[in-house]
Amino acid sequence: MPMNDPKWTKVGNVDTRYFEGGEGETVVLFYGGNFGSTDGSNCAIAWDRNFDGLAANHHVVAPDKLGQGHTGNPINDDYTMNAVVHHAAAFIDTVGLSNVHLVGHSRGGYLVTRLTLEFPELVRSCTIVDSGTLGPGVGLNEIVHAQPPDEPLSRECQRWTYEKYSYSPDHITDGWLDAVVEVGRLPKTREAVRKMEDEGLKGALFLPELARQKAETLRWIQDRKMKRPTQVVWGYNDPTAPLRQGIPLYEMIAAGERQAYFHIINRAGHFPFREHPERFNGIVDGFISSLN
Amino acid sequence: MPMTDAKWVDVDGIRTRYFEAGSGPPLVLVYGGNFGSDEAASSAIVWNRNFDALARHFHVVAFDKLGQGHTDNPANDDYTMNAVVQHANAFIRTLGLSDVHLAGHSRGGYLVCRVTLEQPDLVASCTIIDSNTCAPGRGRNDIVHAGAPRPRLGRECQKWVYEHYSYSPHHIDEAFLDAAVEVANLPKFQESVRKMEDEGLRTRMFLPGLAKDKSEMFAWIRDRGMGKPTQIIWGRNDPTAPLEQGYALFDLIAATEPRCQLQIINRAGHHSFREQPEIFNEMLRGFIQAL
Repeated sequence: MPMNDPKWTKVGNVDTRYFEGGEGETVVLFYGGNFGSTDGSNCAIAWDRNFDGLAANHHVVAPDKLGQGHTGNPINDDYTMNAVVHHAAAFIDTVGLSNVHLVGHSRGGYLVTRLTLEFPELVRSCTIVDSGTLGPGVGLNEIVHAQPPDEPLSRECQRWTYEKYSYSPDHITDGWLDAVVEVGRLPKTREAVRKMEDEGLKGALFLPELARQKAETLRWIQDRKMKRPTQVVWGYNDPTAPLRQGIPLYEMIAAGERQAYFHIINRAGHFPFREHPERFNGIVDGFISSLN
Repeated sequence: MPMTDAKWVDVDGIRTRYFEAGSGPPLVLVYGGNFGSDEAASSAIVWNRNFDALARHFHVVAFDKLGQGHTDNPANDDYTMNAVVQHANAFIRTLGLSDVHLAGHSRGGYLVCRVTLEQPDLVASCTIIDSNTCAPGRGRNDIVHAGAPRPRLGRECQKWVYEHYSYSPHHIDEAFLDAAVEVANLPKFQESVRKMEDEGLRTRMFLPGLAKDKSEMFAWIRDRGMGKPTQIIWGRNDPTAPLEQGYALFDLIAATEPRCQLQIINRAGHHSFREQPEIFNEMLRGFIQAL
């Protein structure tokens, strides 16, 4: 298994964990979810079925986002997606990366799109994967994940959550579950859950801010501000971010950006990169090669 | 320019022209159109923006289909799509190829789908490109190409037809047009136009046979599945085979073939592989190498 050698850097005042491997053009991977979630406590290990394959041809970097994984929580209770985006930009800058190929999944797909729009000088290309956060319309997470079987963030709860995201559960490995359960037990994760749920920052701050910024983001895309080669990758069978969100998202991007591609992978749910890693890596490798 | 070195082989009495280069897994490219068209005279040269790049990774073979390009016309006036498919099957066997990766465009997309279903022992994977012949629904060629200038098959006519297939005309280079005009001037090609148009074989034989074969193929895909990894590549701006047909074909195939993906290229019309060769070649390579 890869990704057993974490590195640490200070981004502003936030201790940030990341993984790094391979040589070549830099690919930065941003996974999904957000801090203080009671469904799952995702972290960079979500990429453990892709990391080595991509690192065979590229310099691959996979950080833990602000308040998720082992990275510290937001400063001054700034539990917003905007804070996550700016932490990601500062991370890329702090590690000294440039001309990066961004790959972002779900909430991370929204993140890489904002990075491309707000910090184009850092970005060479953008890959958006199954992002209901970004796609027009609303995702179905609240329906699909309505009845978790066990206490929040337990192993059973998280396994169930990821199963419900999937076409087939085969990709939900013990290595990944170990990693997310470990994150779920961290005091700083519990603190983030307290802030988001008990103190109500999710309803009062995070979601309304994200809704406002999503509308702004889609407007910017329609105003043709996505000035980097962009591809959209979607699982045909995604139960939470249905393909009908992916198609209009691609259409909006392709109307404004010349190099815009769409890939649909069959028998894949919300995590096509985990359900079909070879195919997904082939799409990323091919896209990057075509730009040279 | 690539593809200057034609080879010839006898396929069951049909003298067949082809090009080949590179080493690695065999990749057979099948272009579109059909014999006796009075609009355009496509040949294997259609692949000249892809051939060299693909030959760096594959043993690439691009042949002229039955009655098209420089390949002989059908024997016994069998001007059917089925005869074209059987000639392709026989061509692959004559060359001794196996575990072939097929990539077919337009009518060639129908052809590679048929070969995959009929001769699975020959095929490793199937790529279908902008093919309204293969997809549910109807193409729009009749409308898009209604005003083609005369004389038919002249350089101006063919240029106009290819332009009206395109998002941008920049891929229509002189070498490509030279090859198409050369084919149109061959006596055997003019003979096929006479058969199809003047003798009416197009409406009496070719089109009804294709319609029947196509509905049989859909039933086959629905009931038995492709049986091989299949990808569909489509130009987002295809005026003749609209993207809706690509989505519908993907829905049909994905229902029964797990190893299936759809890839869409922006700013590309019907010849997506010519308009955006860099990304097309990488999509093809990425798909095959991931198997």
